[in-house]
Amino acid sequence: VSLIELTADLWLLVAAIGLALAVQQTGLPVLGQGASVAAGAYGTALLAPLLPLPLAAALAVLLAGVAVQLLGAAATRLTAGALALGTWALTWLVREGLTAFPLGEGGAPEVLLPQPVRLVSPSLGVAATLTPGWQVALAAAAAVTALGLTRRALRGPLGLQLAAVRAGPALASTLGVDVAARRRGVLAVAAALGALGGVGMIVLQGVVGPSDVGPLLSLQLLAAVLVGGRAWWGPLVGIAVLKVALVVADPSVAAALLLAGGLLREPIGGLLARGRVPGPEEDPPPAGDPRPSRHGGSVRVDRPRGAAAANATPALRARGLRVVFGGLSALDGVNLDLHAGQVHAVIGPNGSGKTTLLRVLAGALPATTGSIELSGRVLGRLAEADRVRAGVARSPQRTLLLAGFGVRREVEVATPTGVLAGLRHLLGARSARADATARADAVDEALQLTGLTERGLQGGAVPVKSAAMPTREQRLLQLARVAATGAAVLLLDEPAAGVAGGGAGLAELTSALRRLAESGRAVLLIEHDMRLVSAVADRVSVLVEGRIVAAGSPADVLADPAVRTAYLGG
Amino acid sequence: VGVLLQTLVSGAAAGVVYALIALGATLLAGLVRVLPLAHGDLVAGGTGVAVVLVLGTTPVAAALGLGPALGLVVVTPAASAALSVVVYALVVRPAVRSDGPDAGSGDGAAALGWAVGAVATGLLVRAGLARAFPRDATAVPDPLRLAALAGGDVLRLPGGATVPGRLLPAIALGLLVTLAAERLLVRSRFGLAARAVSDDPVAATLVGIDISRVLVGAFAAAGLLAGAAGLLIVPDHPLTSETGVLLGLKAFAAALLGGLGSLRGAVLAGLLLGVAESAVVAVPSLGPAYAQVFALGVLVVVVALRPTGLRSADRARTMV
Repeated sequence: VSLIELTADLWLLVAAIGLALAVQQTGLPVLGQGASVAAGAYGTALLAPLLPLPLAAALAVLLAGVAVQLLGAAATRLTAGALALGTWALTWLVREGLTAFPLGEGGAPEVLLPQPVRLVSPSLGVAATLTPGWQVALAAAAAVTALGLTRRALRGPLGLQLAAVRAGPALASTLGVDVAARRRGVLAVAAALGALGGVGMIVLQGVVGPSDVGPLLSLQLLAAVLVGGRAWWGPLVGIAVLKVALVVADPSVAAALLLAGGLLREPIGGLLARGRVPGPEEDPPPAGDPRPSRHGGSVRVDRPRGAAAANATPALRARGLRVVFGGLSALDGVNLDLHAGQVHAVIGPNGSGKTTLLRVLAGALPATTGSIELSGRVLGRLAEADRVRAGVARSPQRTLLLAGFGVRREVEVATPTGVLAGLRHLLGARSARADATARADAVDEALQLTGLTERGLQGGAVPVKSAAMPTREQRLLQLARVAATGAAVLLLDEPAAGVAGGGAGLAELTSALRRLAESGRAVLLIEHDMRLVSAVADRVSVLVEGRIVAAGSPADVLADPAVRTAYLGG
Repeated sequence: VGVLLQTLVSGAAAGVVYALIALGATLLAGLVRVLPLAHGDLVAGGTGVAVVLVLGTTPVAAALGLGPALGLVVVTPAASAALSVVVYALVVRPAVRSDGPDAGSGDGAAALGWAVGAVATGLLVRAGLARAFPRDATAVPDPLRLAALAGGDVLRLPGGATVPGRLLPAIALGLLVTLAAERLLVRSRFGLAARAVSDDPVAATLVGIDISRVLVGAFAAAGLLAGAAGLLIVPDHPLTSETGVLLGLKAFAAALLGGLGSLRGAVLAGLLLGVAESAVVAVPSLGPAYAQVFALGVLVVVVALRPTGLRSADRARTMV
């Protein structure tokens, strides 16, 4: 392998590392990484006569990232399928466009960068020629830096959030992850790294044409990324395998075979572990004494964000909520107050609007009319992820877990982490340690509140992968996750679904819900199991055909003849 | 007037081909909620297989005899249909199965599965074509002898401009096939079953529809249409390994413009796209450089703005 070939492969690796962030870590099917390589190569060649080379290269990379960040506003709304089609069309458009409208000298579709490439700066007194030795060093430095940062990011809060986005945008939103922003960011970083690879390509070769950065390159990079797998070093393996495949087969066949191989390597659909179908409990509760937590068994209760200043004013106040689907009113003027420290159960027959109410409060569904205030702050049209950060979080009825995640990481996903905290971690800032401690404390608290502390301990005798836990504990884990968001108001949709009545499961759930309320959170509980409701609720509202027909203490409400009529049909 | 007519005729000739391909693509997109990214490659793939089987790989310049002509007419759609069913069995079925029938519209894993599988298939088809036809482009004589129908190789239009003689019969034939296919898909029992599967796969199973049979049928039908498109376009556009994928992308532009899943929309949008493209090329300040770029640009913009197509989302869910 010559030095020049090695350099070219290292630049390809840089582009592949960017693509892997989108495809493997975030689950975005990007079929057009060649387009960003084109942006880097063509941008550098066209800007080089105007600017010093390092500036031209930096500007090209920056432009690629910014362009995607802007385009990303559209791209992040797309379904995965539309993103695949759009990026596939883009890589063909770039190739056809560069062919039809030649940018090179004398109407040639290729662009040139005069060789040998020299870095000259009179002010700094630098005049150096980029020898092959320098170039391979630069390429290696870029690849190692990109790999190192990827590795670091994946082990930190950003990696967790990307995993949540990959597992499902709906799940990620309920955990307060700003899905659109993360997708946009990842696509921009992927494009910037692709462009950087393109810069390296033109500096090395001195000439780049439309077909060098076209659909075939896009697919070769995708193939490498798929074959390499999800680990941080995956792109390294992928590019090496691609290299070998290109020796034994022609470029298209090699890419096609590797794409197929990549699919077989990662069985389709195996990326997201589903919760089990709710059914009877299978496993006995783990024996043995619960171990003390890292904080000596005491629950550290932080005041949840958004909590009401005084207990008298409700944490969450909804007035006149109406939701109309077509001609049908799913909610018809619902008023609801949720108080800190209380469990408020909403019961009602199937189809009475309970889940609709919860989705409206969480911001997953817009209300036709009505207002929602959180500690006096009007929530308006705030999107779901923003509401979680403001202090209203929901836990969906279906159990959704992150494949291959341990219990602690599964909960840590939900802890509030801004982009800045992610960057602090990435750069190894000193304050990142404090961030990590705060997250660990939030996880500890959530696990303790839900009685899962023992499950959260690493290396214990009990299984720690979330998918391997019994249904009962998966439901508790889901509660722990929503508690870890730190929201003052928790909206829980049938947390007992799939937990057999009368068993230990219901008792565990009851005490977990009580502890959540006692920690100062306001809990809205939608539930069918009347034993759970009477055991845990401070207040009960009965929703029938979109209206609240009765409200009060559990004993009063359950004795109300009107409620019995509504439930039993008279 | 002459240039206008010329633009219209050559645009409609291209448009009718886009319509044929888009019809198949939109049928599949509506049924399985996946975007058949390799659909365009089936056009070139089927034609290529037929040419190799019937004529061999040496270029033929003379007009075809009855035997080879008939052979091409039969083998091209059959080969495209067979390829289409292979794509279904190897790529779409595993991806959709693993994530439920709504996989295509959803996220992540399933979409990555079918998208990657489809582009890999397309790559293989292109690699095969490049191997079978090492020249940059291979001309194929018109098996349908449409020029003879029009009474000459060149047709003089009112106003003085000329178009190839076979274009008008090609448009007529293309429209006939398109409309017949559209009516058949709407009216027949198969069409009814397909619409049921498209609306609600679970309910369709419950009333006794064999979903996998409907899907195999739909992929075969889409393949037949792609083959028909190949027959119509190949005499005008020499066969290259990339003829298909570009046609496929243009057909996607048409399918999206017409509202994904809408058969009639796809046909109309295909015709419109062909005429618009031909108009762009005819404008002196724009010119032929825009031929490929225009339609691809339309596709990128439509995907970015309205990924379910320009018609409203709930219309896009229904087939007709």
